[in-house]
Amino acid sequence: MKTLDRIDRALAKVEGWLIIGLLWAMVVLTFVQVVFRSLYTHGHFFWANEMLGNLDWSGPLVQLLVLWLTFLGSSRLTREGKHIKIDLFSTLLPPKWLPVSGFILAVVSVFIIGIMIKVCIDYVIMEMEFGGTSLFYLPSWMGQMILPLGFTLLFFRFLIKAIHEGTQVVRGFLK
Amino acid sequence: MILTMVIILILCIILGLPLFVGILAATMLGFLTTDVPFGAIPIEIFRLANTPILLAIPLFTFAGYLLAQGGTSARLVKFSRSLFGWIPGGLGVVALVSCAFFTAITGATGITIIALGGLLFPALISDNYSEDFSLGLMTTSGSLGLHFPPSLPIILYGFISGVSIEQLFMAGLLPGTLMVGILCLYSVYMGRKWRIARPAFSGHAFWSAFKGAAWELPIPILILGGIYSGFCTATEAAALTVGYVLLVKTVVFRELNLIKDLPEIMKESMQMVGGIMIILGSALAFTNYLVDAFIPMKILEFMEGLVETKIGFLMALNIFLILVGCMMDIFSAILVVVPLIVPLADRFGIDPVHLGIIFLANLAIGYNTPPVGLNLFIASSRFDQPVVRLYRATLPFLLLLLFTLLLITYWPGLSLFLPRLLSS
Repeated sequence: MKTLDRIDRALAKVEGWLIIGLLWAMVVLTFVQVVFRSLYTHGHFFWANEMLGNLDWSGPLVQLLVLWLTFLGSSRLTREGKHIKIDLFSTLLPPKWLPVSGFILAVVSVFIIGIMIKVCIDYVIMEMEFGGTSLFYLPSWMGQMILPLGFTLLFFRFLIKAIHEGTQVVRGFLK
Repeated sequence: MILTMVIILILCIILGLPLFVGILAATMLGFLTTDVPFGAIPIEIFRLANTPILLAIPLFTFAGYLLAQGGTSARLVKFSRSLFGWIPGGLGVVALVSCAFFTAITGATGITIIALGGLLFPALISDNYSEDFSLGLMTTSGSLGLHFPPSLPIILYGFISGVSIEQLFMAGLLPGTLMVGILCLYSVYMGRKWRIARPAFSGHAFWSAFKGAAWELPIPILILGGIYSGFCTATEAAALTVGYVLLVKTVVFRELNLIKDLPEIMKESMQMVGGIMIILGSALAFTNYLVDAFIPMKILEFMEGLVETKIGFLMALNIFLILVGCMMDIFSAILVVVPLIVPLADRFGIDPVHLGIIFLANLAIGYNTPPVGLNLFIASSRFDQPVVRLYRATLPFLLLLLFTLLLITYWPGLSLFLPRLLSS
């Protein structure tokens, strides 16, 4: 339990750093692109177009970052239990049933996300066989690795939640 | 077998299963019945990384979270107070206009009540507005401004429905103004009735408040102007907005420290983005199933049996969307419902741009609709009031908004006038 919590905290920290780094990269790269493009189209500076040519990798990279930030943010959101949900009954449920419903929902999430990991790994393997190259001449499956990785993060987060709620349920029964 | 699983899934969703898990599970069940391999799901989710316009979402959200910190809200309130404070019911007008403006520049990410409530609510009370009136006003104003750029719901609607975001931004201006305007008139009426003291207009105070807010006021105009003059695309406008807001917040006002404050804001805003975009990815996969299984066509056939006229369809749409709006938050509502509605509306000859505006107006109202409208709960915790009291307090505002909804729905020209003017 304690080790799990420690991993959970360390992971949240790493995710936080990654978010900060990647978001900075996204902001700077998109901003620089816009500036060069407008210098070229509105100011007719040819050197700006050349710079833009040197930056042609940044478009696809930044779009890939959208997916990275999505999964990192989403994983942290899971940790805080703040995902968007339709909450009709949690106020009606008697408080002592909350851990039970929380446990069931976490187990369902673990199950569904588990399937997603498997499906995404298959997807990446498929791309390894048939896919071409993309960013920086790297094989395109490397970009897609974020899908299985991201779902693994979410899987881990929901698993911890399931364990926490589960122990609470058991404790409730023992009392 | 499938039916039992569907029932279990629905139960889980109303018990509070994270919506993206629910949508993924529904997609899987759907694909099981139509024998489509699950491999279609990651392909759809990966589209998030192939769509340039989606870049605007993290960028505008980040800019919005930056603006929500520090003194922006106070400067905006001070400015609109110096501008509208002298008219009867002026402070109510101030509250409505500042909230709508704030919702717009923060991309309608649901932080308006939290950011402005603490500033405006005590001011309303100390100016002798009744408590019910003030509560109702603050609650409803949390969902005004959804129609103004750079609202994220508009960007999402445009992406899902394939309608040009530039046109949607234009189309939203008049209906959005109408919604704010009618509530302002109500506030003026009540201010008259209660004979609330009116401070005189002071040119000096106005000028100093204007100078204070001069950096932040032009943001929506810069975004709109940049897009319509062809200077930049919506995505590029998002990048420029982030740059501009960073400059204003860290250099001009020195309210935010790059090292100390920014990391926290970045993490918080990306959690918000993660929450929306993971649902977006799942919803794309779910839409793929819906289309594969001809679900929109089946609903269409069913609806054609029930409703025959355009008006009938619009009425059904209004009622349906208010129900959706009070059960779901605006982002998931757009992601899940729009793919179903767009083909239907097309069949009944409704312009997709107009549909988008109706959609947003409906959801904004759904936010304030008892028993489960989201704004009611946010306001209840923000102002420490029982939800039931807020039901009563928001009622007059809700009725007025319903009236504007009728105008927006049955008068397409209101939404379509500006985009047509621009394209001709």
